[in-house]
Amino acid sequence: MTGTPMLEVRDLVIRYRSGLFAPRAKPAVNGASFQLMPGETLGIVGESGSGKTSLLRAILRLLPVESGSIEMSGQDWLAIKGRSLRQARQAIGVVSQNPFLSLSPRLSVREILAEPLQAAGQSAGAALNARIETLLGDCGLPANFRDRRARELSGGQAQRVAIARALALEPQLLVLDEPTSALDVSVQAQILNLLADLKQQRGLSMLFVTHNLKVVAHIADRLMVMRRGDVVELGATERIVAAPAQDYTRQLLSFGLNAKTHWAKGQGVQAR
Amino acid sequence: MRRVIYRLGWPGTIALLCVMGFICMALFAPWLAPYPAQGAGAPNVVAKLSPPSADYWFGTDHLGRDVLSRVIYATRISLSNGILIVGFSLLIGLPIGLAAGYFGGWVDEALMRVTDVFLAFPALLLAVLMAAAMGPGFLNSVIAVAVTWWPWYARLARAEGMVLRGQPYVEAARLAGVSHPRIILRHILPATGRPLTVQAALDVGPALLTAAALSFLGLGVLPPDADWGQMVDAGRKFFPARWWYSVAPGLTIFLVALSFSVLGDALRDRTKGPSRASA
Repeated sequence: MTGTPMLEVRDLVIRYRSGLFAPRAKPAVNGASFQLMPGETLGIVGESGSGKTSLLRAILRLLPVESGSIEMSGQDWLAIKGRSLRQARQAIGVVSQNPFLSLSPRLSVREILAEPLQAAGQSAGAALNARIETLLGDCGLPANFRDRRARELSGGQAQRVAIARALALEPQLLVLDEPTSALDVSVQAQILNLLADLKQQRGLSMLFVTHNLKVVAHIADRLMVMRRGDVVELGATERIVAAPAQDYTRQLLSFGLNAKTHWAKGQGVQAR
Repeated sequence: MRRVIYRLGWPGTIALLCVMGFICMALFAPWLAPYPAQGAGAPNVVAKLSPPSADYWFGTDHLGRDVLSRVIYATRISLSNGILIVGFSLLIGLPIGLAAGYFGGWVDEALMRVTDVFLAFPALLLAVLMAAAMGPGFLNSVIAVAVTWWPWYARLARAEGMVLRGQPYVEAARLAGVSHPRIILRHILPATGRPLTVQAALDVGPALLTAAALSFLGLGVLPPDADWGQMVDAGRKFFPARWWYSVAPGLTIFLVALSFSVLGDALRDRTKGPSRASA
């Protein structure tokens, strides 16, 4: 892959502020560097506390960065502020872990999906409704779901709505923070398949954060393994899964064994 | 009706009926009062200070006016006093609190320190000062009490705003490029509705009591208008020999304040309960 990377992170350091007299905290992310090419999926894997979510939140500009740089399509991403940041962020779709928390309990699916579209300046009307139905369809939900509320959906359905919302503004980059962790395993496989389809259809770049290496191995082109803020391994998925260089990666692989069995079932592939 | 009883429980339902009864009383005072003219303030000196009787159920006051009619007419002023105080307080406190809680940082510091200044004064003292400075009158007494009242709403709204700001669905709206005012209107404000309604219902009673206290001190409405506090004060000079003059409005204050606080409790308990499929 050549050309300008979709996203380029260099020597990123994130440190949570500690108290005035407390000793300086160890950085949550300690010098992470990676590139994400258009159409590529990077899996960020690590146990909890490894800094993967902090990294993601910094890329979304929800966390301040101590040092290092982030470039989005060649532009200095950290320099964008205020209103232009609000607009620029619309080029990133975000799906978080628990759809029941990330979808407002007070709004209908239609209102939830209309929100980003209207924030981008689309006015309410037939065109908006048609767009919402297309989005629902793309994510494998019937159009009559638009009048439901989040609590009337199953976990998988709600996560599909969250994915539909993330795709509403045709982003080139999709950021997924443990998108399958709150779901049971059979639904996990369905969501993973949906993501794989979307990636293929739309040529999306994805950042896929998870603690479950087996889940992400299915969908990621490359993997980045993190531990306590450090990047311990970065490389092509096949290489890392086949021959992990670190004990830690090997452990992560073995933790995911169960998931793999179920995931493989969902794929109609015989488990090993 | 059965659903109301189910949701609010018996005490809550009775309190709700009482509150609705008093609201009707305020609305239909001229038709409900046995002596509408006297209720509005016309003197009737021949029957001055007569004890409760078949003609005058609650007796008459020092100008011979029927106390029952006066109490019914005073409902208009006292009830709107209580409701307006809470309304004004919400109007000031809610935006300030939500902005402080949602934006955090220096906005929060600045707004909450201003709020603290108002909280630093004893509420009744500040209200008396305000009312004395602005002079007696209905609207002035409402403003005087609301000035001491809004910081509590600001603090409540701030707490809600802080919790909601971190909710993933609010964050998702932010990431989708929704503007701050729109997020506050669409996500934060509706979510604060419930706790604030409960607090508002609980507060109408005390607000009305404070307004009554101001009237009692002569800083509320001016004669011939009457509110309950002012009536208690007027009757005080004839107490205890002509006890009915103070007791009737006093008991009414007690009943209304109690109803609002029981209703508020019932509403709060309802919101704590399990989520309802029918909502």
